[in-house]
Amino acid sequence: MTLIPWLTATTNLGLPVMLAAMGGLVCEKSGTAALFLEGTMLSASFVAVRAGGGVTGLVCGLAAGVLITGTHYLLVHRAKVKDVIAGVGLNMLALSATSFYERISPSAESVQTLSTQTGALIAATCIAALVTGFKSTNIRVQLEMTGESALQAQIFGINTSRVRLISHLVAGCLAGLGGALLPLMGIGTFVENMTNGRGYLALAAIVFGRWDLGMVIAASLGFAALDALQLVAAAQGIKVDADVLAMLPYVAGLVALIVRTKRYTTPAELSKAG
Amino acid sequence: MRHIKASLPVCFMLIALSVLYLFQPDVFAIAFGSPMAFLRLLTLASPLLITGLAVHACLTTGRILIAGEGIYAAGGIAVAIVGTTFADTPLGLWAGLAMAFLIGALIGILISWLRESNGVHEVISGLLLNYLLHLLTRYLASSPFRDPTSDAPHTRELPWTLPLFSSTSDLNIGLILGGIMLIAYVYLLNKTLLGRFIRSLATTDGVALTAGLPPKRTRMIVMALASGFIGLAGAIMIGSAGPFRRFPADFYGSGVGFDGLIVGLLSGSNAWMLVPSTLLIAGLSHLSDALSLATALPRQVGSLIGASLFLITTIVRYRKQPRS
Repeated sequence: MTLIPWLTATTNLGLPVMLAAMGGLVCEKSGTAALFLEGTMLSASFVAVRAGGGVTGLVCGLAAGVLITGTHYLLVHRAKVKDVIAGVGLNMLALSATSFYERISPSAESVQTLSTQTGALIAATCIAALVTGFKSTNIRVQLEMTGESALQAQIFGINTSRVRLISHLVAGCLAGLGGALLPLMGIGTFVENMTNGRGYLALAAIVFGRWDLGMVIAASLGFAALDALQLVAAAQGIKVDADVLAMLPYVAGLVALIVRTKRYTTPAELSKAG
Repeated sequence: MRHIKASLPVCFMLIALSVLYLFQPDVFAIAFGSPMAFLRLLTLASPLLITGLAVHACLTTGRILIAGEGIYAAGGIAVAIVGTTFADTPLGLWAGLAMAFLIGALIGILISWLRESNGVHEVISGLLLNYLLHLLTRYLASSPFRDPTSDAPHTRELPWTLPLFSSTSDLNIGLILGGIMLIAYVYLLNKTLLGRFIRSLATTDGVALTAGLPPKRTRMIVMALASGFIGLAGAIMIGSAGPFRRFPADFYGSGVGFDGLIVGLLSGSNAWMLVPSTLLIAGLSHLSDALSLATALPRQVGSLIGASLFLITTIVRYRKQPRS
């Protein structure tokens, strides 16, 4: 009886995390730490609601995501700022700017939302596009060689700057879509710190999924399934403290990081980051 | 350029004060124009100095301590639980403070172990721990350890109080602890051989290894001590008189952890710069309170300026080293 609501809640909460994790995966495979996911998702959620929701909100959220990751690219690969610190800085700026603006002018109480089916269709299209991209030898080799050794990739004639720029833009599109879907498939409005660490859960899913697309998607949905338990428990009147249930995805994320032992799967350029 | 980078916090502070004095003299007067306002600034600065110093110490070994916010709350709940559980014994105060330090140190060891043994970046594990500690401390304060006599969700009142500097402010012994820690830290880094080897860990493991100093273990010990002191800062805040002496369920989110991160990063390689950096960030927080009183601007303006300063600092200071 509780299975259907739980699966629906898992889909609603899981798709944003999954899309963000897929975007982060592309960026990390090119050798840049994707710490910016939280800020990208939060900005996209904010912009999607401000744009009135619906398809317009989705497109504007995507654009906001690209803007944030584009800035990250400029900071890291042009201004040569350390990627982890730049990501943390952008996250802090996104959180403070959205909170500040939300206090000055609160978001509309309800905007046009999207159905779970629409969200699932968008996610399926993104997965298909990413699988096709990863299957293409040319794209995969360029991406992975840049992530393993940028210097060697350049010797083989790969334009590593272009690869990294494109991977940042793809990450921005996917994380922006994920962030926009969070309010549009959920409560239909924006609240301060709406993502509440989901960008970091997406990062944990990438690490736990060992930079493998299938594993990353499975890990994202796994975290979302635990996250959905609190909604289902509240709806079914099960008396478990909401904070205890809300802790489960973070506990799972930490356990995932603890049990991960095979370090060799980390892209080599990523290990040098920080 | 090197001198500008080194004195970045002082430059920011002077620019901010000049702009405020010229364009908002009323707000300037509210924020800094009386001894009470200055005491309030120092009250805000004392936990920030400790968290900023902890972040700086970890940065010296090449690691980023980002879980300060959660550790600060964990230290607070530890002293509240132990202090009220052992209320009848004279050792309750010391047991509470020791437990806060221990809990903080254990969290630091977990983060550091994940980095050194599993290769998990300390920022990812630290941020996940922040969210977990937020929910855990809120649950403990609002369910099993809640004060049954009160409608508001918080723990029972501590039977003792840590000393204050004056009866008219909340300025507590955290400032003395922070000052002693800073002097000891500067001495260790600049005047001892051990300090110089620890500093070398920011760029290479080779120098420390040559001196027989195990890099991984050293980073773990520094992270544990730094986290322990943040836990202690949280305990001091809860154990002091004023608004606390009980742990409120919404204690997490005071901003001390994230502001401490900005303080640590802003200070750069010169540990003495922790003082102006702390005053700058505490001043911003203090100023945002004054601004929200005097104008229609929300308090969040302080964190917005803080985050902008953080980004400017990263662009100026935290550049990747060119490969040889």
